Order: sequence, then structure tokens, then C-alpha cells
Amino acid sequence: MHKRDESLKKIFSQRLKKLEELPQIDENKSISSILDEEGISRRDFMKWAGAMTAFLGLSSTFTPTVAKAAKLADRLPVIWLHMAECTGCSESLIRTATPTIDSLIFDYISLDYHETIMAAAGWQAEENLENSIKKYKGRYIMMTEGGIPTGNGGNFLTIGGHGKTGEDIVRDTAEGAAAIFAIGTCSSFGGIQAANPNPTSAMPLSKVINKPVINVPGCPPSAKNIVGTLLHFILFGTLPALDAFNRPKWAYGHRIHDLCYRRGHFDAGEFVEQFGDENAKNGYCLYKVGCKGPYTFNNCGTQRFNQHTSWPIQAGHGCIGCSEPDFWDTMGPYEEPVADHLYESVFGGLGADATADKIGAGLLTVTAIGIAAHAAISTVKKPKE
Amino acid sequence: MSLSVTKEIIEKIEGEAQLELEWQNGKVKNSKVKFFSYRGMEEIIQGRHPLDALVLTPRVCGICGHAQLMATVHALEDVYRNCGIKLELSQKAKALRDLTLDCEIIQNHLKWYFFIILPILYRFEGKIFPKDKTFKALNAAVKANKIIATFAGQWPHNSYMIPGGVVCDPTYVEVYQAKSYIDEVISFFEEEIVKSDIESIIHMKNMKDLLQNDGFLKESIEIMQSNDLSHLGKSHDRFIAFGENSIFERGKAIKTVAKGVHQRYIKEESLDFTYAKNVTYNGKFYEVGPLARAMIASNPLAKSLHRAYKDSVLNRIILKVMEIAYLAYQVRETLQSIDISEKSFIKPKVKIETLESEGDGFTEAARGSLYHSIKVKEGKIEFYNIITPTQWNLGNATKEDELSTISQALKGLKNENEISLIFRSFDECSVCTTH
Repeated sequence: MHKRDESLKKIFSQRLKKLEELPQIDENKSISSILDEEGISRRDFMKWAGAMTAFLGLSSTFTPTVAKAAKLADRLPVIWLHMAECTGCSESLIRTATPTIDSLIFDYISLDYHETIMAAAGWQAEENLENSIKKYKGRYIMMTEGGIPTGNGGNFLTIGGHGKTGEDIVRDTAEGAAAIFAIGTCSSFGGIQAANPNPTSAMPLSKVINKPVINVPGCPPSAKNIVGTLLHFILFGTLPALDAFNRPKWAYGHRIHDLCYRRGHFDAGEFVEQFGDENAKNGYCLYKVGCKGPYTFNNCGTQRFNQHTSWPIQAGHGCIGCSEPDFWDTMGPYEEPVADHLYESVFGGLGADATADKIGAGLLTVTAIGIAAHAAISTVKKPKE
Repeated sequence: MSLSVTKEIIEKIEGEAQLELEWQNGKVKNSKVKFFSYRGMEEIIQGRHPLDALVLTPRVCGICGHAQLMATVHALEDVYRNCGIKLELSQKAKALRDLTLDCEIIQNHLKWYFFIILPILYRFEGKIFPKDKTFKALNAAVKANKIIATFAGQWPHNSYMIPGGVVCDPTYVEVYQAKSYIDEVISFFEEEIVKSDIESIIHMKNMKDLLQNDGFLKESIEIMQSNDLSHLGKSHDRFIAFGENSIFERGKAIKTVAKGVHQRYIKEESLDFTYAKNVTYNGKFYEVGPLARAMIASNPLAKSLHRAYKDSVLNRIILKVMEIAYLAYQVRETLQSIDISEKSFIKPKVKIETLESEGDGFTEAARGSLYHSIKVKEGKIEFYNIITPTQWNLGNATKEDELSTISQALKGLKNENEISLIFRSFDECSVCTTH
């Protein structure tokens, strides 16, 4: 462990040194000055850095390095594109008046182009995009929200006064990007518009461009996953360890099932038989009312949503598998367990015995059988009226 | 008689639209609104399990997804009703559904007012809107979202409503948490928008009452009056609302208020130059949204302002801002009277897969009436149609004699600032409209 830390430290300090040499995006402002402006004390900032360090799976000795990297985020411009989407990803990331530090940093680096929240509009906005791409060529981070419609020559989505198709915009923007992130399930996997029969031939970002794309899926994705991915790029300077679906392993390496606070009930065979029953009131496992937690890789149970307020399972509804590819077609019906389907028919015939690392289908092996067994055990318990 | 046509791209309406303006003698004569994006949601929903619609329709939109969920659950419950099966909903389930939807509307209006409208109004005065106030408003909006997350799990996109009730089982801890959040929203309104107490605010009856207290609302009114904007943006003076939730009533208002509206008179029409469909009632264009809702509910303030300003941009803005107060107050009242010992969910006696029927679901989303209609057969969705509020407000005229709601409102305007204000006072959402 110690040796690994040593080599990581070396990588980081080299990387940070390189970043320090780059000019700031805005001469008059740095992240440090903005933090001062907003009244964020150094202590609060270090607390946040500590949490982020743990979140990224690094030992606590890296906290100062993470803090420094976060401050260097002002050297990396971000261009955020909207494709065929609902804007839920941006809404999810929204900032607050006492900004969470993630959103504050993001606010600063989300500079020149973000269709929903930028100040510019009309021709000026399109000019800004073209100028940013030129000015920061090779340095900017491209973040995309939304699937790319490719049907009808790409004309199911045109943006701006020139009527450029979404497809062309992502291709052109990708050329000069230092890193490309697909934010949300739509951009990562095609999303809801790609669900059968996919009327507009919507595609994931990675299928439309031929540069490496990091997928940060979820519908919506957790704000922390988005910012953490950015921070990871700053630190490593290369793509983080990714799973078979190009999702960062530090965020998507565990199943919802593995991190779920109701897991004890699953293991004890205590299930909600129907919504609103006594078992639901006791917070039992939601597998039998359709929770797809065992088949879904994400960290919702720990990071939660809306500033750690809650997440679907805490509110009593099972996971719908929204960070998995094609979940619109494979995870439904959402209030019925997958065990009720034929295993062979799931995931294009690959069945229940594959894992995300092997061939990309996200089901468990032994646990898949165990789930069915658990469910069978509890059928003898009748729900109370 | 000089006629020219200009094209503008309007962005930041959860997507974008192209506005084609026909000018004559320096004033707007006619306009066309064109949307150039499409996803095909109605086709995608077809063929799936009926309950899957609950998960699919919120993804039509990231800012009003909760309203989509409400409309879907109403449509599904209507399917039961049309099969003669009476579904029971506890008061608690109804109350939770209503209050979370109210919160979605509150957060939408706050963002609209502080991100879009106030900055435009300040521009008329040559000023830049202070960023710290925008963030403060955003904080209030985020608190409203937290109320939703407390009961529904997350916002955007949750699935906590199903036919028969809701899936959550809150304790008083959640209720108190939610109360503290709505108190923060109310405090924000009292400190920044109308500097008074909420009880007085919701009982204000006329312009005089509004102008008695400082705050952003008074400032907005004064900017509009001193820049001769108060009488601009009038449309057909026809209002309609189909949803009945919380404080909203169903009906239409043309000179007088009529309560009987029926969906059979709603007609949707495709056009060849835009992905958005027109929608009319009895062949006519109507306005939906907060102003419409206030007129139909015979809100005293709305009626008093209407006498002087009809359906101008001034009234549209005032009533939308005031709706924040009305709803926040209602949310607080609901939280105070909710009985958590009631059941959250009462299981329907029959499974929806066994039913074959249709259902209509209405609700009032932030921007106006939302209408879902569904047909189920043999455990599958045979047909699903969505009509969104922006479709009502942003139609395109197809006959010579009548302009659409937005075109009538834009008629006679002289410059980009006026157009921007009047257009955005309708608070459009492009992703919903094209779905």
C-alpha cells in the first residue's frame, strides 16, 4: 500500500506541476479567490477535500494533493453540450447560494458554453462556442448531456443559427478536446430516446465519435460523480480505471445491492410484498417489488441525491437500474423482480451469469440464484392486511 | 408597406427554438415558432407494460418531470375508473402527491424569475442583475427540491407515485424536515420578493396592495411601468386549465369563467416546419399557465389587475411570481395537517395488466396544463399521447383570421428587448414540447 502511494504521489505532483504552468482561464479570478469571496473558510475547503479524497479511494495522506488539484481546476476550461436530453443532468448539478464546493468549482470552470445556464444567447452564444474551441484547443474538457440522434441525416436535432446537427457539433467539438465525458445515461448509452423502437436512431456519444469517452451514467447522475470524475482527470491526467462500459470504477465499481442499507433485510429474507404493507413500513428489502439493485452498478446508496437528502430506495421504491445500458428495455417492468423473467432472455441472451467486468452484462452469478431462493423463502410469509 | 422577415434563435428554454418574425413598419406583424429537436417518446412508450409509463414520462423533461409523473398516474387511475373499478386513495397519499408537485412548481418559478425575467428587466434599466440574489433564489429553489427528495427519493426523476397511492412511508421526522425547508422558501419570498409576511401577501387584492411593500416584485412592476411595457404582450385573453390539484381549478375563462371543459374538444395538429404540434380547444388558441389558473380560480388580485391590464406581460409576470407564495403557503398548511398514520398505498383490487381501456390524466405543471392519454390492452400500452403546456402557448396559426397565443402576444412589438421579455414571460420548455 505504501509503495503504491509513493508512486501515485509522484504521478500527481508531476501532473500538478504541469497544470500549474498553464495560464489561468480568467486572469482576475482563481478558485482560491472565489472561495474567499463566497466566504468558504480554508477549514471547510480542507474538510471537503478530505471527503473527496476518501471518495476517490485514496488514502488520507492525499488530502492536500486533492485540495491542490481542486484549486488547479481553474486551468481546465469545460464545454458542456446538450444533445437529445431532458436537461435533468444539469438540473441535478445545480448550484446553491451557499454553494457546495463541488458546484462552486464547477461553476468557475464551466466557462464559455452551457446552453441552459450561460448568459449569452443567440448568435453570440454560437460564436462563444466556436471561439472557445479555437482558443483552448487541445486543453478543454468536453462534457455532453443527451443522446445523439443519427436518423434522418442527424436532422432530428439541429442547434444554432446555422442549423448544425447535433452529430456534427459533437464531432467537431471532440476533435480538440483533451478529455471527453458523457454525462448521464443518455449520452453514455443512448438513453430513453434510444429505447425501442428508437425513432430517431439515438446513439451514445461513444458510438458517434472515435475518441475515448468516459461514461458517467445515471438518470440523473449524481453530482458528486460528475465532479469527482473531473477531479480524477486533473489528478491522473489520463482516463481512470474503467469498467467494461467505460464507467469510472471508483464510482460505478459496486452494485447498488452491495452498498444498500437494506441489504441486511435481503440477507435475512425480509421483503416488502407490496407497497404500503407492514414490511414496507419496516424498511424491508424491495427486491420483490422490482428493485434492480443487484444488477445495477452505481453509488447512489452512499452519495444519495439532493445534497444527501435521499435516494429512491430510501423513499420506498426499488432501483430501476438507470445507470445501466439499455435499462429502458431490459429492466422493465419496474415494479416486478427480474427473477420473474426468463434468465436467458435477459441482456440479449447472455443470461444472468455475466458480470460487468467480463462481458458487460451486469448480473450476479451465485447471488442471482440466491435472490430467487430468498424470494421463494419469503413467499410463505403472507403480507398482513 | 415594408415587409421583412428575421429569424432569431431563442435559447435557454430547456433547449432552443427558432423564432421567425414578420416585420412591417418597424413592428412585429406575425411570427412562427419552430422547434428542431425530437426524441419520439410517444413511440417509445408504446408496447411496454402500463406501469412503465411512470418511469418513462418523467424523462420527457428534467424540470417538470414530477408533473409528468402525476399526469401518468392520473391517466392510469382513470383506466381503472373507466373499467368500473373504484380506486381508493388515502388523504395522505393525495396530500403528499400535491405538495411535492407544488414544490416542483415553486422551484421552477423561482428559477424563471431570477435567472431569466429579472435580468431582462434590469437590462431595460441598463443594470446587471446582482449574482448574489440569483444564488439566494437558487438556494430557495434547491430547498423546494429537497422537500420532494425527502418524500420521493430524489429530484429530478423519481417514481414514488403509483396507482393506489405513493410508495414512501414518512415519519414525522421527514415532515418536520420538509416544514423547515418550506419555511426557508417562505422566508426568502418575504425577504426578497415582497417584503411582508406571507399571510398578508396571499391576501393582497390589487395593485395598490402590491406596491405598498418593497421587494423585487414592486421593482419589476415599476420597471415595466416606467418603460411602457405594462400593456404589451396581450394575447387573446382566453385562458384554460385542465388540472385540479392543490389550489388549482379546472375550467376556462373568456370574459367570464366557465367550469365545464372537456378533453374531447382538444385537437392536436402536426405542422411540417416544426417538431412541435399545435393544440387548440374548440378550434381556438388558449393560454395556459399561472395567469390562466388565477383567472379561472377567480383570484381577486388577478381579477383586479385584469380590469386595467387584461392579459398583458405585467399580469403574466405578477401572477406567476405570486403563485410561488400561494403554493408555498399551501405546502406549509398541508404539512401541518398531514396524518402519517394513514395508509400510503391502497392496492387496486385488480391488476392493470388485466384491463383493457383508456384513461386521461390531467395535472397543472409549472407552465400550465399537462394532458396524458393512454390506451391499455392485454397488459401493454397500445397508445400514449402527451400534450404539454408550451404546445398550448407556442402554437402556430394555420388559418388567416387567428394568430396563435404567442403570435398575438408578440404582435406590435418594436425591438429585441420587448420580444425577449414577452416571449420568455410564457416560460417555454422546448424538450417537453417536442418530446
